[in-house]
Amino acid sequence: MGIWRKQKKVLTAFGIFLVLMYLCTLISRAVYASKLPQVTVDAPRRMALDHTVEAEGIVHQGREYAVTALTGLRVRTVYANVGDHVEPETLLFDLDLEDLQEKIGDKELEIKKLQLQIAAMEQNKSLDIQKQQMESSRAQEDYSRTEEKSEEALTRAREDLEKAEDAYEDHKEHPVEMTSSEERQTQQKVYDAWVQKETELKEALEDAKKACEAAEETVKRLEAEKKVSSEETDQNITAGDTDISAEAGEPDSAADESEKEDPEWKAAQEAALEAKGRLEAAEAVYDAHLKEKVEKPDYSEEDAEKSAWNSKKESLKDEIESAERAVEDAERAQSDAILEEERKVEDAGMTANADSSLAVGRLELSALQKELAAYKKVQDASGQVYPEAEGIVTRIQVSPGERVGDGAAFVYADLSSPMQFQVSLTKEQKKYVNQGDTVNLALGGSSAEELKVDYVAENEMNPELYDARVFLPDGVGTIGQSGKFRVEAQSEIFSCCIPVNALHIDSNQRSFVYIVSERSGILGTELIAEQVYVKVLDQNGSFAAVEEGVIDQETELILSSTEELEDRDVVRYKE
Amino acid sequence: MMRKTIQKAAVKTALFLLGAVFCAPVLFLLSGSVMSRYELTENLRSLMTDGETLITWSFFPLYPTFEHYGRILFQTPQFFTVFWNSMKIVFCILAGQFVIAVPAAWAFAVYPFRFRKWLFTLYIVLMLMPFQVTMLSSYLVLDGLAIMDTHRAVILPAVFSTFPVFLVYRGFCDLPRGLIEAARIDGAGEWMIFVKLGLPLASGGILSAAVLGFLEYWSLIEQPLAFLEDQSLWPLSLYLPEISLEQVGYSFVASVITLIPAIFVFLSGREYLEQGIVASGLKE
Amino acid sequence: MQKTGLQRFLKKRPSIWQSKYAFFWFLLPSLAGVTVFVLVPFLDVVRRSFVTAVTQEWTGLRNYQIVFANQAFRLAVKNTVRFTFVCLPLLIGIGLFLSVQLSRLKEMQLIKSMFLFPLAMPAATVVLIWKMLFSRQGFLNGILLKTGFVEDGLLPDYMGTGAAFWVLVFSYIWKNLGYTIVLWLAGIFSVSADLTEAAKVDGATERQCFWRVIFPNLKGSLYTITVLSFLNSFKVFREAYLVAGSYPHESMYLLQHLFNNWFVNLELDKMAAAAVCVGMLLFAAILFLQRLWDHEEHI
Repeated sequence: MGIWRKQKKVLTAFGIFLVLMYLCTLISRAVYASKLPQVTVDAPRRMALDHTVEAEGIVHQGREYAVTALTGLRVRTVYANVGDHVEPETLLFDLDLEDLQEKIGDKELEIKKLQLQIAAMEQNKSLDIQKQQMESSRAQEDYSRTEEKSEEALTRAREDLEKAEDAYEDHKEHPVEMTSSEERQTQQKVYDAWVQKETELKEALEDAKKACEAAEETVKRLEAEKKVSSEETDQNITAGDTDISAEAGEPDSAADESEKEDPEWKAAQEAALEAKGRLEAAEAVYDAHLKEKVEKPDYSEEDAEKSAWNSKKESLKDEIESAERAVEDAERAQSDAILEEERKVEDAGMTANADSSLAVGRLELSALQKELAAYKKVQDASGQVYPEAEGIVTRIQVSPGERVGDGAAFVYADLSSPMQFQVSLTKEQKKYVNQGDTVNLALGGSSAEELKVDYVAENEMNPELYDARVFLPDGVGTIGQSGKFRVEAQSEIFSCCIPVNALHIDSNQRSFVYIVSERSGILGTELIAEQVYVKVLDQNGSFAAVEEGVIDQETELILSSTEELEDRDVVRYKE
Repeated sequence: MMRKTIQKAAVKTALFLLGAVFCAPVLFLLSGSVMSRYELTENLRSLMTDGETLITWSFFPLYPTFEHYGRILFQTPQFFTVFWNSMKIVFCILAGQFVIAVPAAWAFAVYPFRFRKWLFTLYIVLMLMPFQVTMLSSYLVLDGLAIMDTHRAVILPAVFSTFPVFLVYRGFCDLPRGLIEAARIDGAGEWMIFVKLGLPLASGGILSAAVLGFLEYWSLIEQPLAFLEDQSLWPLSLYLPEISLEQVGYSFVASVITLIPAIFVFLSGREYLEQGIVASGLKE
Repeated sequence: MQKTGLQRFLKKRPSIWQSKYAFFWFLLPSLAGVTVFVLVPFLDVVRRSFVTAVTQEWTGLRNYQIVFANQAFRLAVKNTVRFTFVCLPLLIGIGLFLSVQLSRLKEMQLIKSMFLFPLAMPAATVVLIWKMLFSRQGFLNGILLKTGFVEDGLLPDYMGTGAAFWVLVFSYIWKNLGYTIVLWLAGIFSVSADLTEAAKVDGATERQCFWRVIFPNLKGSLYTITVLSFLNSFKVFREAYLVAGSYPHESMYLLQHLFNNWFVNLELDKMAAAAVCVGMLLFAAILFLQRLWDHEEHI
């Protein structure tokens, strides 16, 4: 049970803890909710945006006239002032007459000088023409001479060429006779045969010689032997007779021998004789053959001749070529020379460069004379200047003692033309004001009138500004009068327009709005402010038209909130 | 004898220290929850920015402050939403388990029916299955019953968990049989026996199941993660990790507050906790 | 008087409560819920494991093939198995050791409570502290630096490297040590004091006392602790997810990450096949364990 009490204590503590938790839950929820930004919402509307352009401007003169005077003349007195109402009879200013006189004198002097100049120029011109003619004829002479010279050269060259060609032809017609190759071959064959035969014969001769010699040798030998044997026989006889039987034949044989040798020796002799006869025959034949000598075909002369002829032919050809080239050169030389001469003639024939100085001079002269006339006119008018029509002087560009400048001396507003009301508009305003728009104009203190915008254009001096003009009807408005200009334009109907204070711009100059959307988190579904970038189509002071798509008629747009919002902040509706 | 005493003292000290170390995280939480934002950033900057230096800590903060407590308790209704979610889930589960599991344990303990052993083994097996294995089947059923993304998706499967059956069964086991028989003879109906006899005697087991269950389901993560998509249904255990490292003080305080119920339960039910653990263990 | 059928029926009612079938009514709500929420859909999961995710065509075992070939699946299985086999022994061992030491102390209750405390801390709360401890700029590195174990410049981010695994282990042990110690202590104290006394009388030292007498009787506790620690090891996914998200460092990538990611990506076919596989595996493992300790079974 002690445990139970302890349990109870613990359980009680736990219970207290839970109660505390519950309280904290409530507190935290309250605190959380109170810290949330509260927002008001609205849906975008479908509407058109009004744009009112209001501006202040003044009435300007309709048309202006300029009164000019001759530049450079000195002004003596200025009678009118800016703002003066002048009429055609009103004297505006007059010019210094003495000065004018001087000017006239100067001008006359100039004229004279110029006239003299012109005369001189004319003279020069005729001289120039003469010179030119002379040059031309000279050039022509040169031309014909050159022509002749070159023609001559050409002819000569052509003649050379002909000659060379003739020689060549000639030469060609007398060629060297040559044995044809067939014949040469035949001759060669004959020769070869002859040579061969000669060789054979020679060999035969040699053989015969040899045979002969051999035979003679034999004969000699036999003779020698005979001698020896006889000596031997002698010896033998002296030696003994024993051998006689053996050599019975010997002495006989000696004699026989000598007789025996006789046939041998005879034979040998005969043979020798035969051989010799053969030899002689062979010799004879050989000699005969040699007599019928066939010359070795020697064409060297022929060939030499032929080659000489050929080389001559070649040289003749070369000559022809060079002759031809010479002709060409001559021709070219001729054409070049002719061309040159032609050009020279042309050059000579060209007239001199355009020289406008004379014409200019003449023009100047007439201009000066005109100026003089103008001065004179002024002089006649005693230097007085009047306006052409009625009007109010708006600008005076001249002052006494000063010379008249280039531009207008006097500018005045033509009262007969209608006035204009002029306003300056900014670019923003210009968007809503177009030509033809109805404008509500209140001049001075008078009531407004409905007029049309007649003219809108960029201001020349300041491209950021635009000028709008309204032409006033006759009689309305005086110059310098200020008025209020109001144009009410209505844009097209936009499907999605939001109040301007719902529109914000971030650091990158992009426009965005906050819309209410949901997100689910631990506390369940909560409302958050979602940042949505939008494109602004049109905007006036209180509304902005936004491109549909990102937001539409259904979106809950946050108009305002009690705290500053960031993207995805949790919000709640304002109570 | 001296040695033994010293030894004992040494052991004691060592164990104390170890125990202290085990409890240390709580000190971290407590000291962190009263640290000012500045100090926290100082100490933990390295961790937040993944820097190179080490983080530091002081268990006695230089400028203790209750600003975090204030913020969480008074300015953050989200915290309380998840807190009550957790409470709701846990108590529903415990209540459901009480209604479902206790009778089942009684059935297992008291009635020897035919498939008892087999069924009980099945229950044990189911008890030991990690969530992931049955996750798919649970998902299919929950989806089929169209209760996904509601608290019921977490509560219902847990209610039918078999672990409390097991725990309570142990408690019922100790009931003397004779008592039951006697009651029967006296003509008491089974229901009466159950209510009058069984429940009181097994209250230990039931309470231990409750304590273990509370601790378990108070830090439930897997089921809510898988089955709850709507953030407004999340329990505290899922909300805590959502607090980024930038708001560490906040995280500490939330952790401390999360701990408090668990500590309450732990302190009050410690004996039952032990009993429960033992019951789940001993088979004798 | 004729009793109406209804009255007769009503009369019969009490008997239902008294019959043996009363259990049915007690069991029904739970059983019905379990069937509806777990068993029946599991059958559908089994069906889905054989069809494609979107078009529901029959593909046979293809999903299983895909799953087994899937790199992520293998990694997850490897990591989960590794984690289990590292953590369980560590936890059980350290728990046993500490509880033995505690069992001899007077201040057991207090210290026990201190160890139990982490159980009360919600995962989300714890994660913040883990971040402060284990990231590159964390306190762990600070301590290591001060004690000189690590050099400046070499400070790792524990949760982004392979050390992430050990962070998870640490987280797991930190959370469940109390649980384990309580169980061990219960087991230790359940051993009848007489036995220890008898042993002491016989002259056994404390250590012998423990190893010879107490330890053999702790089998039942061991079984329970193993089973429950196993159960709790899956819960470490919470911390892992909160610290490192859906796709943590490789070494931390567990089965639960994989399932979660498949679920988010609606790859239901793979998920179904894997769920069936894992479910079957766990079923078998538990049955096996049960068989092993069957003689301790009470039922």
